[in-house]
Amino acid sequence: MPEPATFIRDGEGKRVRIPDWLQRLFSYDDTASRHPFTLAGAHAETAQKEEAQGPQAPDSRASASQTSASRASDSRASASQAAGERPADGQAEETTPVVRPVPLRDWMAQQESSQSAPASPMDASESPTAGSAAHAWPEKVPADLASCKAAIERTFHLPENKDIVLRSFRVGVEPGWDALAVFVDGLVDKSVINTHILQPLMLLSHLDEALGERRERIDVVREALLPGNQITQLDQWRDLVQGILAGNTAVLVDGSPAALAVETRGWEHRQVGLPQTETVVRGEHDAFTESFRANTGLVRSKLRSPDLVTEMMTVGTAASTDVAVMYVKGVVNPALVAEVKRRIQSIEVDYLPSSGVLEQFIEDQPRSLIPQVLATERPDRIAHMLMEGHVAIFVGHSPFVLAVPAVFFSLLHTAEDAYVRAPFGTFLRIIRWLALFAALLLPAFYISVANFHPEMIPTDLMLAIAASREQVPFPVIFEVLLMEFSIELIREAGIRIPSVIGPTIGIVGALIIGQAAVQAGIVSPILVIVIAVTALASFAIPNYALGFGVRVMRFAFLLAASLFGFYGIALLFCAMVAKLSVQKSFGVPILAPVAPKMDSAPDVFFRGAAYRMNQRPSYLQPQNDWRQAPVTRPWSDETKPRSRQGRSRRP
Amino acid sequence: MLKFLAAMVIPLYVLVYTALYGRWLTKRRAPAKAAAAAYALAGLSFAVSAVIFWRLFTR
Amino acid sequence: MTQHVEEKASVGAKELTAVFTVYTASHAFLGFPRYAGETAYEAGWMLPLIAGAISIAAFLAVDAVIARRFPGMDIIEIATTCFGKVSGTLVSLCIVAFLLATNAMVFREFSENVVSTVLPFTPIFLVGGLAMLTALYIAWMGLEGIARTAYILFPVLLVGIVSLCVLTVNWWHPAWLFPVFGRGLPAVLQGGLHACSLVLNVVLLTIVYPHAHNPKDLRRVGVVSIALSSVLVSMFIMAYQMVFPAPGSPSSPFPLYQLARMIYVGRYMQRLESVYVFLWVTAALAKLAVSLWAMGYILASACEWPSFRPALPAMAMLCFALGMWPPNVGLVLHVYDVYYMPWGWLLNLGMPLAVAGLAFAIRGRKRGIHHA
Repeated sequence: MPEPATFIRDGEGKRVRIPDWLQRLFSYDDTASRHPFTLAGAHAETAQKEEAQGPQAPDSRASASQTSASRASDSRASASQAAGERPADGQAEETTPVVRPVPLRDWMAQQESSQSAPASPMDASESPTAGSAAHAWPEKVPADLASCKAAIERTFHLPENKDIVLRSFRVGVEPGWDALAVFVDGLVDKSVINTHILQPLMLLSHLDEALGERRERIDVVREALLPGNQITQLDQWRDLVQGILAGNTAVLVDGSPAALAVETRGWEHRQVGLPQTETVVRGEHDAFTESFRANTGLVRSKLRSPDLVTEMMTVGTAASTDVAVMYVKGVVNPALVAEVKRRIQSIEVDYLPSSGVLEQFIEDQPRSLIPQVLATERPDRIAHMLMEGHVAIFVGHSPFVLAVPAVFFSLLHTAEDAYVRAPFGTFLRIIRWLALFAALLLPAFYISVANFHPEMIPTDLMLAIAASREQVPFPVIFEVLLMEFSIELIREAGIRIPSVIGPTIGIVGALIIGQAAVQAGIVSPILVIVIAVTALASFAIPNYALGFGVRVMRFAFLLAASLFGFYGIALLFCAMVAKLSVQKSFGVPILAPVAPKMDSAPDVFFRGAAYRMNQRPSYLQPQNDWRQAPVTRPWSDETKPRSRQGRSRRP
Repeated sequence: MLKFLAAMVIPLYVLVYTALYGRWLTKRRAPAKAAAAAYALAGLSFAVSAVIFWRLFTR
Repeated sequence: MTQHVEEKASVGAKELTAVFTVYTASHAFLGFPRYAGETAYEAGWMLPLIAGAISIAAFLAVDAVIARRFPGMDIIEIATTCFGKVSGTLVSLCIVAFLLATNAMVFREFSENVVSTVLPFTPIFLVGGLAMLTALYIAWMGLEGIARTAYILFPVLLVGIVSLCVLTVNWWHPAWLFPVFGRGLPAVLQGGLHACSLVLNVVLLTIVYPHAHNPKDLRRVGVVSIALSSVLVSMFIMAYQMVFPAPGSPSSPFPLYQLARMIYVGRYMQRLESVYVFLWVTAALAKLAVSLWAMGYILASACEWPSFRPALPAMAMLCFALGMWPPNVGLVLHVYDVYYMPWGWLLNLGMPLAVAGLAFAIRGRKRGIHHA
């Protein structure tokens, strides 16, 4: 909170700006404790009330952000602080005006209008695109076909741009109406255009013109002549352009101030295939792919509920990317949906390439090593999480879908845990927990024991370690770092190496970390085992992003252990837990439901039996806590719940 | 002596940090007591550290 | 009425129980078993139980006054509303000074333990500095952070103490616990009263009052945490005295390490003292962090600061410097035995009782006070 002066004066009295890092060192930064949104404060009941007032229009951005902001005021973190404003001295506020990014198109339009008359011919010739861009766009679709055509040519920079196809034709009424079909080559299914747009309009339509006025022609085409299954009538030019770019075919009829966007999407994409990073033995084997609609369809095909809602948004001012927010109405906390939409809608970028980028824009603490968003390529996992009360975010053609909020424990779960029987699911999870600790701490433990606490290992083993280290001329930390670096190198090279020469990496890797290094006396054989187990353990962490975090933290623990042994590890571990315990993911503490302790089905450290998974996780504050009846096996006395929970129906 | 000076960097940093906090409180028109307490705390921690570090490092 | 400082962290009962249990039980790993052995000989294990019983009684008395007459207020707010701002500030400064002294002492003891056991060649300046830095970092996260950290690490502490007692079972000599009353009943009772100096739960609980999810839970938190920590410490001392005879305890400044060194359950379960480093380091860190937070919080509410965090670096610096003040650990133990233990309970139990009692006498009869 205390802000030092942003400027100091140098010897000549000029103002010199103090670097940000130095300011931060001397000012109180409370981001660790402040959160822009807390789900616990936003109770499902109040949220339901809001929902009852009617669904918010997709473009009511301001009102959505206002409601969320007022909700967040519980935790005394105002929206302005969330946006990065800091309470500052008057001077600082005066001297550093807030600069908000301007959408590229608006910026170009501003530039155009500010220098419309005196624009030099040089500029115009150099940047014809910028010169003729948004400024030249009509607001509405013109009624006159010639004007439409001219506007399209300006908008899409024809004739240089060869992807845009303009097909002029006559609708087969007597006398014919001039019409125009516009689409992007490569994005559309041409056979659909031929058989469902051009053929019916040109060959199969023989009507009298006395059907109405000129401006109503488009209605006739829409209602009687065009058999496309998804047709949208658009009168805003901007919508028309977006529609064409999304793979629709625009049909314009002379005399009508509107256009029809006919759904003709048919671009090339990978077919639904096997998951690349989340394979299972028992369970579905399909994964998301590079097709937005195929992805939403995959989830919907698994979760056939009328309450499954997909809200669409677009992000990107220069080139828009579709973003879908999917949730189950009646289960999810509406405050969570509003917050997700608020965060997505506040992104102002030219282009949003992937879900990996969106994740960084919307997560609570993007600098943290622990992911706060769960990215998965498994539709079954998304379907399951939606039914728990999470919100799923689909981004453009990204084959990874995000589920929020994500708690730490769900990062160690896999879909398979649920598909095998509970004892095996629990066994898998125990293995994974051990793997997590081994991946994080095993090399650090080895260093501590070898350097600081040799007395804790039995004498024989200690002698064996000492004997194996006898030939090695380096300190342990150097040995470990060398081997860790080799492993990281193999890992990175294994991903980047062209698949044709892929097997090489195995041979080279085995040579480096295997016999050769030991025989050369560079590392000790026991260390090779330690490093190999660590590497295996880190591959057993199911979440890729968490694996990254563990890899980085491992080096911090190595350093602490090499300097202070177990003492250093203990200190760092405590600090890490403290940091994690205040982190949040979309308003949910990331260590929930353990710290803070919250109600949840037995699905945290271990996997409970399916018939005991009665309740949804309470940290999601869902509208409906129960996901199955308390007694799901009424015919079995053995698995009947004890008296306290023994209600036969859901409350 | 060199050790003492090196060690005093930390109390000095804490002094500046806490004193800046006091200054900020003054600017925010917090009660006089608040800013005074911040300055007092800053001075106290610095003075105590200085005395004890002096004894620790110069004997 | 003093304003609540910054965000009102809302912490659940289970986390609070964990944090206060760790807070008091961590004395098992510091100098308390030595003190208990010295004061009561064979009856050393009774001291924590007696202290726990007295503290629970005191806490329930204070809690009854707060719950009936001053709901939702902490002890400093009560002092301020009933006796004026000056008294409120005075009470806060007393508590801060007491916490500061406790923290500095615990910090020095802890650093000495680290240096004498696991890092003999590292300067205490560095060892202590790192511990204080980490404690500062944890305290910076606020009560929520501390409480959740303590809750996660609590099972480690529990398993640690119990395993330490159980794994030394083949060295136990139950006969060494006799005579039952050691140095005699008066000495035991007096020692029990003095041991209350360590049960800071009472004064801390009256401070975290506004932070509880549900203030009604706080009574349970207080009773459970005091009882549990007393039992744990008592268990530890009992095991310790069955392994090492009581008359020898004055010579052992760090019983946990001594006990852990004795573990020998087959060739592969031996010399586990290094593993217990995690146990006592985490417990001590939690203790230091809670004290730092409490000092910062009380100071902030007494001085009407908007946040407790800016005070933390200075408080940590003070703790560190004061901890380094005694030239040797002998002086620390002397202060502990002669000043801290015999008189600490007056501040620890006496002050909350006095404030609550006087407030009840003055304002309580008028059915409490109206506050915003």
